[in-house]
Amino acid sequence: MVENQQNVKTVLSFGAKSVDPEILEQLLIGRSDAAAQLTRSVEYIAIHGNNQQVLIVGQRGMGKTHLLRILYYRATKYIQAEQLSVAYFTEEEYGIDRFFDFLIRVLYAFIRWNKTDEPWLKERLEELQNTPQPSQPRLLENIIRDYIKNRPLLILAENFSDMLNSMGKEEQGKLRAWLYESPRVSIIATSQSLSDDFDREDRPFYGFFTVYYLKSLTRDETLRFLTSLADLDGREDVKEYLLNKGKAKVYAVHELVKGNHRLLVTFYEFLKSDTLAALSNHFIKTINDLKPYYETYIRYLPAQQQKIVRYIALTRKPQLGTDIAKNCFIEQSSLSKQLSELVRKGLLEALPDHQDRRNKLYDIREPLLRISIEIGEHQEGITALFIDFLALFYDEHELQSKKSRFENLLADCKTPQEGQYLRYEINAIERALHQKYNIGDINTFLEKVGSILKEESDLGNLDWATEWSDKIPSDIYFMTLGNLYSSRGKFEEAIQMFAQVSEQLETYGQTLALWAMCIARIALQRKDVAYFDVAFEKFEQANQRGERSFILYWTWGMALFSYTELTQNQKAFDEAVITFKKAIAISPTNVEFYITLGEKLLRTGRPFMNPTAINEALWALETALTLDAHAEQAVILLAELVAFFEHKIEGNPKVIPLLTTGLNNMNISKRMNLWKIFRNINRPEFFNIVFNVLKDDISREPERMKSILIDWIVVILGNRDDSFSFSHVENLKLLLESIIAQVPEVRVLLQYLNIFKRVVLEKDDNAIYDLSKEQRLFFEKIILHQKK
Amino acid sequence: MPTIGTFPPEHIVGRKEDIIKLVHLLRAQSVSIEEMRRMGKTLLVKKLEYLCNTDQLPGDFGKDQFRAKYFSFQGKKNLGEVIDAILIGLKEFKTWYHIDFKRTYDFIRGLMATPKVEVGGASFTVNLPEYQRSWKKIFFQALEEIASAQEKASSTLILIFDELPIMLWEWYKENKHEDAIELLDILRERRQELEKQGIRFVYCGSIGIKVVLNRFKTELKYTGEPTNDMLEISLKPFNQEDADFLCECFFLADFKVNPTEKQQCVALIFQLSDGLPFYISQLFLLLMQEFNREVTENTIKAAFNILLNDSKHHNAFQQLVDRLHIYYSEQQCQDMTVILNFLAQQDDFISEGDIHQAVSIDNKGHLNECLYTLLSDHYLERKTDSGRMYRFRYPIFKTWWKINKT
Repeated sequence: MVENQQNVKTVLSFGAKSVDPEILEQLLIGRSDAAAQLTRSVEYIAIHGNNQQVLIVGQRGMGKTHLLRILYYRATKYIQAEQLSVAYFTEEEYGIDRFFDFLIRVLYAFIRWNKTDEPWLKERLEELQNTPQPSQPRLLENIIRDYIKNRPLLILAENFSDMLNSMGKEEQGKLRAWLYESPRVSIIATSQSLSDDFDREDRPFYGFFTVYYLKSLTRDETLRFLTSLADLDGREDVKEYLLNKGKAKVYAVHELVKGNHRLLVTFYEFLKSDTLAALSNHFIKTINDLKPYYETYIRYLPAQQQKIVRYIALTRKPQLGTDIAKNCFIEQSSLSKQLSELVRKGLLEALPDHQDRRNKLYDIREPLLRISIEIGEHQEGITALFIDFLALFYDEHELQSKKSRFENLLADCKTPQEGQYLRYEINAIERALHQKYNIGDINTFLEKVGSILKEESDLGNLDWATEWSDKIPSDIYFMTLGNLYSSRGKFEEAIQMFAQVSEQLETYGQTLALWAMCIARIALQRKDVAYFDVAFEKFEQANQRGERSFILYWTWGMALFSYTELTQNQKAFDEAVITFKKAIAISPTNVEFYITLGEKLLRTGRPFMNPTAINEALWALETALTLDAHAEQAVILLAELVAFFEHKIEGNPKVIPLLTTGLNNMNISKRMNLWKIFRNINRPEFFNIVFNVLKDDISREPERMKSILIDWIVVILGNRDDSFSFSHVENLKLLLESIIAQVPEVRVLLQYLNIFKRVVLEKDDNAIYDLSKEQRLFFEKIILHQKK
Repeated sequence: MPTIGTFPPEHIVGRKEDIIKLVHLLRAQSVSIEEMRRMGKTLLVKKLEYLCNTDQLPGDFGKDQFRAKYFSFQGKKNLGEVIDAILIGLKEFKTWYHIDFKRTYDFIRGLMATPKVEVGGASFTVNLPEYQRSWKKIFFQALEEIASAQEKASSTLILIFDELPIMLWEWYKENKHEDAIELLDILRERRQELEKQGIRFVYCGSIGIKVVLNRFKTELKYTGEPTNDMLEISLKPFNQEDADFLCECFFLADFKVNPTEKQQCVALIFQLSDGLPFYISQLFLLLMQEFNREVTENTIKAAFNILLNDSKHHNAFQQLVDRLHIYYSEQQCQDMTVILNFLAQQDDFISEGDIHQAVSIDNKGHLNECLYTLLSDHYLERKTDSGRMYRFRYPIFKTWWKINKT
């Protein structure tokens, strides 16, 4: 019964007919429904007296031959029970251009698959050969009728549209007539597409067949198919890999081959290959094996359609009809029909144009078809395609890993040829890495994040970010989002992002540092000293990985400062300063670092303030202002330093000029803001130091400065310490008198100063009654702090 | 199981009324059946052949002793092949009429010194160049023998020539004008005579024989009237009873339907398909392939949507477009398309005048001609109680045209 007694128990790429039917049953993934349905059709032919005319349509490699083989296998029980005759054609029945040829293949199929009847059949064949040609068709019909007797005949044929195409309309008509004249003949055939012979009204087989479209495997079916191959191959390791680490690779292959069975079998070999194998050679061989497969797609197309397919393949992205017409030099009016046909044939797919819904974009349906076309066209030959494949097939980490391994091999290579080959592979991987993600996409994503940071707006739920997750490298994605969350104080969310960054990342140490900083911030918020230890562990990990970036030291120093704020531990503070200075040493022009150090020294370190610390702070702020004369925060901190540590920095000739210069370098709006801060400083010495700058601003903006001035004097008087003396009063009076012309309200201040001198310093309590009632009440409450 | 294509004749469902009407007509005359493709013409005549030859004709037609022989002329390259096919098909007549075609054999032997002739067997064919001059004579001789034999038997023989018009059309396109005209002459010369002797002809085709004859008249100056007394009939959709029965047959193939909803489902299928058996089959095929054989009102409507909207299934309707391009001139095709585009947007019958107002066809005579052609070609139906008014014959065609062509 079987055609080939020596069934091959291995899975071959191009030969389902040769494979053991039991194996084919096992590999019926994604085709079980189709097989069940067609089996039922056979049952209805054999048992219930139906005819079934079925055309199975699917691209090459989608399992048509597989299905037909299974069908024949399942039909054998009816054949053995003499309920059915089957003529199972070969996969490629060349040379059928007449109805007579078709019938001859029926006879040959009987001979091939029915060994018992072979002698009788061969005898009748000889009789046919000896009959004059005009009488042969009728004799052949009789032979077939005599052989099948009362049994229904099922013809299983592949590439049926090719057969009909060769036969032409007239001979097709004869075949159709024979089918109508013979009451019990059924055909279950396959075809790569629905050609005009099935589609046009004036063709004999228009609407004749029930069309069954095979669907591509889904992603999950692809995985199941490949694991089944691994099972059959006896490779538990490969199966395990495919189900776990290799799943992403499986999905990448699925995308590449669009769930095509045959191509999956080809790529199965690739998936299980050793990572150190010659990738490029393997790839070249695979593509060369597949090239003829795809060439048949295009060879039989009309010239215009060939042009269209070639053009779209080489442009590498979906194209508008107008562009296709222009570049292929095809009239727009005839283009639509060509495109519709190509879509119908499954070579192109029509995609919506989101910019204009009236338009459609056309793209090659199968990535490997594009590759096949490109092979002959690409200037670099196979190289660029190999790079494309690497970029698609491997993720970023795998490529990095492969690159490292090839680099190690290169370091140890013995021969120039080997070195050349390894350099080729390394270069290809580097280019694949570069290509892997669209740089434009990365930039756009980073710009978006940058603008959010700049606007200091609320983060919202960051749902918009998910659409980028596939478009940019995952590590960039998670790092960026982690930084974004961190900038907004959402440290828990930031930690979740950082936790998804791969340890294989070269700059993973920085990730650890940022992660640790978030932990430290949380620890500070919770006032959880022990949690700081977790942060410091991460910093150590980063350090041990060899991380030496400013990010590490900056974040580490900041964490130590935070720890100091909580614990008031001087040792930690000193360590923080040392660590922070390392960051500065690595990035000596980073103004923020100097400002931050200055701030930490002044504020966090206030309990430990000593001349060294003050000088450190001064140095930091001076450097900041040297690097950026407009560093507002540095000016504020310097002012704070001068205000509260003036006695400790007197004798330092640089400080005051530095401060006044810093103030003068600001624009008036910024200075106005500073005056609003400074007006809370109760140091008359400070007021004196900055008065000249203040005075200039009073001249420019007397109305705006008026209230600041008044508030400031009131603060100085009201928040005075014990050292406040006559000289302070006199000095203030002198300063105020110099601006009385610009700010007449200064008279009131001068009055307050006089009263202050008489009441507070000269102890003349009744002097207060020289003030009006309202002024007296204000003076008593705010300056003298008397409670009623 | 839902299927299209060929059917064993005993499995062909429905058409009882059509068979009765047909046989009734055939008592008196020959007929021409013309209808678009996939309407069931061939299955109708195959069923006719089966019922005749198994004495299962309904009603009182049994006493007419009808016998029928089906011939498909599709793919026949020349007149020799046609006659050859008929002669070979005569094998069955030997059984029916107990004739041995002696006169025909003698005639053929007289033409050539052929030692062995067996009409109806495979050892003889007239489709040889040496017989070409004598084809007609051989054919008539054989027919005469049959006619005499059955006249004696008081029976009626129906010769069904399926796809005859399309064969003539193909010959015309391939410039085989002589063969085409000769066949028409044969049919014209002897048909009426043979009819008197109890032979009836059924010409069956997806294009009207008159379309072919018009072309022959216009371009080949053919003036014959080979079908002038043949009645032209077209097929109607299945009636409700036949449609229900067809659905019941399909349900036997493990379709799942809630018994309480079955009647509504069947009614919906009948409504959506306009009772056209091909489209009933298509709906069931879609229910089988896409909906796991679940038959509910929702799945039926969803299947119907797929049928109308998915381009993979457009070949079920593509003939509506193709026919205009294939059988009519470019101008006619263009104008008829314009008319169909307009009518597809209308809800009901619309008058000739209104059509003329709405479409860009200035010449009213030409417009009327196009409308008439569309009517004859079964795209449209017409009522005339208040002037001539037209609409799409089948709502399913109209809906498809509206969605996909306007």
